[in-house]
Amino acid sequence: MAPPRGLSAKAIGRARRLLTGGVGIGLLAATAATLMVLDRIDNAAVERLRIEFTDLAVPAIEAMSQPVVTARRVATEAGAWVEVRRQNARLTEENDRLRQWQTVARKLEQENAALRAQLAVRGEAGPRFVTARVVGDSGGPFVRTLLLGAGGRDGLKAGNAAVVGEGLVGRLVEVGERASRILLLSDLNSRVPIMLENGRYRGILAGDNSGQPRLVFLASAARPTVGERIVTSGHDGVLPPGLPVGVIASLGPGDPRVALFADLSLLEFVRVLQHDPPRVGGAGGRDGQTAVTR
Amino acid sequence: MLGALGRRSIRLAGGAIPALSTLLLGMVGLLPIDVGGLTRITPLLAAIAVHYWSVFRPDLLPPWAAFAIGLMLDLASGGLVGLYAFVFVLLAGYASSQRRVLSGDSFVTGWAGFAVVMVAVSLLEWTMASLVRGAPMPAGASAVQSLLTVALYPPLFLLLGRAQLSLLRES
Repeated sequence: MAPPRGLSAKAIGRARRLLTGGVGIGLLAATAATLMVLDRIDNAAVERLRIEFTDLAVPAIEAMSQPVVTARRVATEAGAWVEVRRQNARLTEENDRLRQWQTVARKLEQENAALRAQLAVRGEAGPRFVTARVVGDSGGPFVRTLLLGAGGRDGLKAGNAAVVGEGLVGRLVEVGERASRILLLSDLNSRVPIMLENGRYRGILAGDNSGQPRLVFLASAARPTVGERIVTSGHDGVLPPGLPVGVIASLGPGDPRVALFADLSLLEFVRVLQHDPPRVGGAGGRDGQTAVTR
Repeated sequence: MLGALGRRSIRLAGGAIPALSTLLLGMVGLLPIDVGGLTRITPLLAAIAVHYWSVFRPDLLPPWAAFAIGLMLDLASGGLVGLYAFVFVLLAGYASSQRRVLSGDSFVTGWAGFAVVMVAVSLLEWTMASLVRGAPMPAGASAVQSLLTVALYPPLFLLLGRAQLSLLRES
């Protein structure tokens, strides 16, 4: 026998109150806490959900970011017009300096090619890259990531290095079909193997959410100096070696700090290097849809 | 003349304004906006919307909707999945249960109420992120986010107030 109409409406009302009241809130909070723990232990389903959702959301975020991009471009243009004379003088001077460097670079390039030919060096193909627009920013207080409007269909893979003209920005940690996420060098979870350009001593560049990441696990024989250049060492087998990262800004107290070449707050476009790390054996490797461990 | 179906559609669309405005403000926080070097820490605009609607129209933004919006922001922002979902559910629950106090006799008391809530939100966010990571997170950024959010409350209060008025006209 069907329950009377009044009773069923009362039951529905009570269930609704329960769900929107304390019990419902408790259940939802417990679900959210479980998701946090699952994400922390790198649960594949949560990772997949994040990649799929980002892929879906990117067209909307991209459309919303258009006015921001236009406004930024207008502001940059206006600033450039105001500074055109000063900028011209600076660029002329820089151009003279670069011409001298060009001569040096050409000579070194020839020398390098000759030496490589003599030694029959293998396994260092020239880098290919994809230029992608930054469409989103994490914005949160604990994360330093950027969202790119390019993904697996553009040939990007998790682990690829993201650079701008000045130097390394970070690496791709999530790659979907049409979007991907860069973990910036400043993020708390970022760890990049580097070396001092002069002594070739190795170390790890560790982000801590500040503007200047720390230099940790530096070889004990290393004597870093302020202003010394830092480049990627490539020892992780993921990032290509020799990418410029920054210079040592301070030596202490605590670990040395690195001032990055790239200004992470002003990124509109980045280049993603499609570097294929050397592999032993033919099998294995990640496909374009997976994420690397953070 | 609108038929019954038309009126019903308008009512439904109007009822979605709280959730849509909250989601929209959340997405604005994801845009690469650069304001004087503050680009890395953007105010938690969606928290203002969750607070506003939970105080003034909790029927249109129930805790499960706050949960869903928080989860979407978690997924899109690349942060810890579940963190904003957790924070928004508790914020919605608390704000709707204390709506008499938080709606305030004047705008300033309402604003002060939100400031207190936002401090609690930041503390909750920081505690959960630190607990899950197993080490204390840098607290400075969280404090800056909280201050920026409180500072942006008045213009968004006006904006959401307008949205609420249009909602009343439609229903």
